[in-house]
Amino acid sequence: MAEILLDVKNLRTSFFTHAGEVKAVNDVSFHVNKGEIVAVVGESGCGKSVTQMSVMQLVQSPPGKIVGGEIWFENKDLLKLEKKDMRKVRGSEIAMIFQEPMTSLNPVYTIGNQITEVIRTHQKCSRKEAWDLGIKALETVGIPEPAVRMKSYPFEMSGGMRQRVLIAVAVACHSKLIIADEPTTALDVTTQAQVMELLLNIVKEQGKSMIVVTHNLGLVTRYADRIYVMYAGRVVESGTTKEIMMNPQHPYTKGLMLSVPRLDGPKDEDLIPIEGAPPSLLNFPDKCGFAPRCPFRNEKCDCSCYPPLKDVGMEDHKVACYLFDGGRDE
Amino acid sequence: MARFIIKRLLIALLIVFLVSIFAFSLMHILPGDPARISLGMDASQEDVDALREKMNLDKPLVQQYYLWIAGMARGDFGDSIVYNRPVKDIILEKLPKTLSIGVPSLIISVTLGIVFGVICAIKRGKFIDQVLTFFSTVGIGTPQFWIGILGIYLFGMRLRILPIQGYVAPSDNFGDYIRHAIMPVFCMSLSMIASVARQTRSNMLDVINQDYIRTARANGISERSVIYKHSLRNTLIPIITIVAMQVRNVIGGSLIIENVFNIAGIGALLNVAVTNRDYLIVQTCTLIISLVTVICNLIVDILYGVVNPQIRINGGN
Amino acid sequence: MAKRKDNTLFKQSVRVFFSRGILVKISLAIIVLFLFVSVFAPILTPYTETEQHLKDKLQAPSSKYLLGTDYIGRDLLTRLLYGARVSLMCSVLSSLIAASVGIILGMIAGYYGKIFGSIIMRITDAQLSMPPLVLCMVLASVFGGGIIGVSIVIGITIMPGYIRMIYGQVLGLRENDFIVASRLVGQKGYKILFKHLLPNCFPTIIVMFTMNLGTAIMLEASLSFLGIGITAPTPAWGSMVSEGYNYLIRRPNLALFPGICVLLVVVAFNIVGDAVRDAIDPRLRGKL
Repeated sequence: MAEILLDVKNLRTSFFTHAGEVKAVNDVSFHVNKGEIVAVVGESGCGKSVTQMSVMQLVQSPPGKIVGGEIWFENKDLLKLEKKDMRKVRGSEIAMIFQEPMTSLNPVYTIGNQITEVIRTHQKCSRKEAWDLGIKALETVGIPEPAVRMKSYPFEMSGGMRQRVLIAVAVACHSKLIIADEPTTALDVTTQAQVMELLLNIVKEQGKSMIVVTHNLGLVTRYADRIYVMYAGRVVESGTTKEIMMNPQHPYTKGLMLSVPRLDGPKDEDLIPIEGAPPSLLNFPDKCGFAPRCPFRNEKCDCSCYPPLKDVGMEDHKVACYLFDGGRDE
Repeated sequence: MARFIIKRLLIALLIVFLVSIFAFSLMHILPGDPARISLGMDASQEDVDALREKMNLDKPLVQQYYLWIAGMARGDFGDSIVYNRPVKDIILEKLPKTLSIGVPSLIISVTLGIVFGVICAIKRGKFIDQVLTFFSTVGIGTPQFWIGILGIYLFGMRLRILPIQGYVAPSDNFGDYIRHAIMPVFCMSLSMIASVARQTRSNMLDVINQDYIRTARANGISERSVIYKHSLRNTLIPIITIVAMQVRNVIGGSLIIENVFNIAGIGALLNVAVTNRDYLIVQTCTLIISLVTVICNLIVDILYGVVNPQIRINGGN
Repeated sequence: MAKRKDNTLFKQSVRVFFSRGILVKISLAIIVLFLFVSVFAPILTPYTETEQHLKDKLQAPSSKYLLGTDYIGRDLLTRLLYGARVSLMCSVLSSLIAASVGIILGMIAGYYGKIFGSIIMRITDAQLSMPPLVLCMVLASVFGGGIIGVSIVIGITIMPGYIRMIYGQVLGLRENDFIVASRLVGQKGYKILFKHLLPNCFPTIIVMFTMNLGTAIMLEASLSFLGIGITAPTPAWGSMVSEGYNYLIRRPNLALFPGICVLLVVVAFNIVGDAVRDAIDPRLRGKL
């Protein structure tokens, strides 16, 4: 039985604006086992990033607020921690990497300054020791001439290299879980592959767990052990990568699979997009969020409550859809 | 970096040159014969003509301009037609008074302004932020001459704890200097503090929303370091420009403050000189004031280069 | 398509503007109040602004003279109302002058390239190297003391703001595809400027204009206080403070009330200006 590292239960995060409440994360539950790579996929605005920011408790408040749920990490409910204890968790136990490497480093301090600061925040060591650890971390992520680079400023480096530096910072403190929020979206294709390979090597070698948040299905089907599909602030399907790929149950997941170009498909086959656009989460009513766009929708789908997550049967595969008849309720 | 400084220096010289032409031409557009103003209505025409010749007023304009600049290079700033004394002496006499009010105002304004701005940004939306922001809005709109007179009325006349007017040099009697300087410095500082505070607050809020602050927090950096190390430096870089602007405001403010508090400084001098068509004083003062501002801006630009590594290494693009 | 977008931008701006809270509404009310009294001043008081009642000089507020009289028996309230007229006219006029000339100069500097641009910008820099009040003072000695003269002086003084801003905007917009397309089709320069570039600058211009109204009033009051602005006997708040200063201990009202008027109007314009800026484009916060 795999050991659970992070267990998020019924998380709810909303943004309270002048115009009303935006339920960005609406009763989301997921877990990550030790040594596992979990993917969270969905369109822009489905709440996948806000979910991770909530785990790290970095949601901008006001106007955002975590309004309910539990986040269990190594026998601690992170939501019940004191601010300073949560701060200790960030960076050393759970590290997060963001999408925009170009703007994620402070422009007025050297790389070395920024890395050593993080190292010394989480472990007692001298500046010299921290500097050496920093050089080693840069080496691990494959940056050439790391000793020289420690003295460089961010603007002297390319996007790909900056992302490596950010990964180095995450690695330097030996965190158990890495949350990568669209880590390669802002990079060109070649660099994307390199950075992804790097992340995977680090995770595998050091026995870490990783959550990869992305809208790029093609990326995760190669690397992830399990996938969570999110839509309009809720999890609509989850399961092992193989199950989701071979046997998608939710119409949205099916749509996603169909819209990814495949190298082994017929050459002149059209890509099938999902019609419509994601809904606004402002003052969102309690019902299936995908119904307006769903090609299979029927009267049951218009009822005023969320479709419950049901077991599909194989390997922990769950789906939240009124069209799915079999299986037990979650 | 050197190329950057030289480029800025040349532009600065150009600006001062343009200002000198402006100051020179303005005073010569004005009606009225300076020589006659100096000698009075009863003087004979020969005396007036002789003085005109001595003052180079009969020569072509371009030559007059050249003579004026050349004279200044030699240290000869000409004579005031109203006071009949060298302009240089008059200015040197009045300058310390203006500085003894202006410099403390500048220092206090910038310091308090930055402090208040940072406080407002950190405690955004809370009570202290709303109160300070309101006061800064009111502070910017408060006329300096009015607050000065209000202060004189309340503290000078009614409560009698501060002197009504006048000026005492710090070298004469420091205690008295402070007593006389409190109100002028306060009046001058009020709108400057408000202005600097607003700008600082706005900059800091922008910085706090940047991605690199999010990264720092995600890495577990203490909030104190996030504010004082990561945010502050990025916030203060543009504030340097604001400080240079405040130098301008100090000079402009001195025109009014010296009038209200009866301080015989450069502001009062300029006031009288404009009214009396004392053209050399107006020209020279305008030039010096512009020179001071331009030098401040130059220093600011250079400081930018020092503080912002991007400029330092890339040579100022 | 563009028309509909304008409509919703306008509606949205108005909504944001009024949702800013009671302070904005009070400020707007103050401005409207002063506008009202400046227009209807002759009807509102029985006195004229220059009428002297020498037997009643330096009186305290009474039922006859609601705020008292000044040193030559003129009713203070009347002078305040007429002073409002002077201040508001001056500020609107000078802002219009600054905006119209400044925008044109800024457009020329930005569009017609290097030489024109450099010259205009250097002159603007030179002007900005002098404190506004000093510049005003020096110019005022040339242009004289009527409302028109003072407006021209203040207009010239606040012009650089427009020049710089429009210059920056035109410089940025110039390389946009729709402008390049117009040029390729053979559209004349000035037509491109007025039909395409200028409308894109409108939001910033509106914000700047509103904020300048307050600045202009402050400058006019300061100039009048120093005696170089509006000349006697036309009432101006600044000169009223200056005159009242001599009688501060006997009748503080004379100096304090005109100053309060300046304070109220300038702060009101500043608050409204901020609200306008936030409503139209909050990204300008910190730049204007």
